[in-house]
Amino acid sequence: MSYVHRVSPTWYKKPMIPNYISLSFGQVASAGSLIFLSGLLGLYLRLKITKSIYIAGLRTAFQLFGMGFLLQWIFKTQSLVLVLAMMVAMTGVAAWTSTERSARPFPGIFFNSVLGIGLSSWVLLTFASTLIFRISTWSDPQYVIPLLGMILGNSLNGISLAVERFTEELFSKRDQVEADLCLGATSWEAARPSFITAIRTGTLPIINSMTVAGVVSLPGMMTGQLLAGVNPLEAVKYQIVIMFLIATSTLLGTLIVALLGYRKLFNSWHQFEYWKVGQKS
Amino acid sequence: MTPILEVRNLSSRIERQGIPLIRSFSFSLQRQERLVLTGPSGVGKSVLLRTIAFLEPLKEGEIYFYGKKLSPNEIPQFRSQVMYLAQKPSLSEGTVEDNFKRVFAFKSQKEKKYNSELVLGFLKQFNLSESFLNQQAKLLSGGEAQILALIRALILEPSVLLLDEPTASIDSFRITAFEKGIVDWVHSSQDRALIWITHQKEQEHRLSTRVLHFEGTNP
Repeated sequence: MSYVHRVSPTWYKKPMIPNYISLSFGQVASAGSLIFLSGLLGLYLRLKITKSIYIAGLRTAFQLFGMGFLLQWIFKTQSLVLVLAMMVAMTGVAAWTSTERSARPFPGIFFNSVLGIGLSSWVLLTFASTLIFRISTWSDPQYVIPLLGMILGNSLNGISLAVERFTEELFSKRDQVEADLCLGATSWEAARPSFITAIRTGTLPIINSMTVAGVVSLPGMMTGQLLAGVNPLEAVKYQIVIMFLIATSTLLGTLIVALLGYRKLFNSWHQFEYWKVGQKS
Repeated sequence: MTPILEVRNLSSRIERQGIPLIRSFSFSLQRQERLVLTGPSGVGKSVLLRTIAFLEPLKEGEIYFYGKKLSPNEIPQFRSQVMYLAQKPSLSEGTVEDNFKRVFAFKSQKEKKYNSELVLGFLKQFNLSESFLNQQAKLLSGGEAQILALIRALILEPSVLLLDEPTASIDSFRITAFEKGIVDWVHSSQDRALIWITHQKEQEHRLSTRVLHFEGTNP
């Protein structure tokens, strides 16, 4: 495998893996020409998407390079404070993203999702780093940051689907919820059908991914490892572990957010506080 | 004799122009009473029944059941005795029989058992054929659903029914049987009573032992 030697700035560390094709900045820029051409095509067909494509393309480049520098810095310093700050920030952004576009928010929805996403992903991360990867220092950024990122990024989806579906079910089926209450159901008995639907909706994507993994799709992380020259069986082992972590974290997270949502929307008098749905904090 | 239900100085959470729709309202309901609530739409008749069923929080006031104030954990039990039926009937997925059976799984109903004899009796009384039991509940007409929702309540043997315009969507040829069924139900045990919202004068005369008329403000 040829390795083109270039003069690199001192902050740029060359990869160590022998089978690995390192990309120069020029090579990345040539992929950028694709985005440039896509924009031109949009302009030519008058699709009104050129601006969005360019902005999104620039964001991808800037955000990822930003992240790259940040990670390189954190990997080098190995500072516990930096690693923690990074992890907290990632969790916060994930929680915010999962609720900001909610069609039916309710007071406390952000706090719920911080707790749901944070607790589930950190628990699974701890499990993975101590019992599976058994890394010597738990805060080793090379492991914990990518692991947390993958767990967060993937369980986030399921968790936000679950919150959304739970409030939507309760609100749109308010007649049924109240009819059950009127027939003597406790608030939990009345909320349970919506709760179950929410959990099923939230976990469906990851269950689907697990079902087709390796048959229809080659999951992203595994693909990355293969490109980096890792032996396929090794890459597969990592992928399996990751998917199990994501699945468990998604289930745990959806359960937490739906339970917290239930506690927020029903009171001790077994009343459905439907007027809270749609209110922001 | 202690009334079944007593409401003292009740004010509702729901307001209109900053004033509670129901304000410092008091009344009581005796055994065997058939109380009819009348008055224009939007004066708070439904809100009153929903508040009595504890679906809406009380802003002020007290509700007594056989002279006793209720604590939050007694609410499901209370609702199994004092049942509110919304104007829009709401049955869940599945057949009518599924609907009838699933409510017996509620903790507050655990001492009761699904009794198909009782169900068939009610179907007959309300002029509905047995075949309704196997129909998909979501596909019923509004009037049929209304009657079946009532039967679902009756088989749980409540002592008070709070009915919110129950005949609004029922075909006229079924209304007589419906009214008679309910009056018979009140008579068939000493401890029963009824509150019924209606807009129809004739129905009010046929059904009521007492009428509360709501004007723009409280009666």
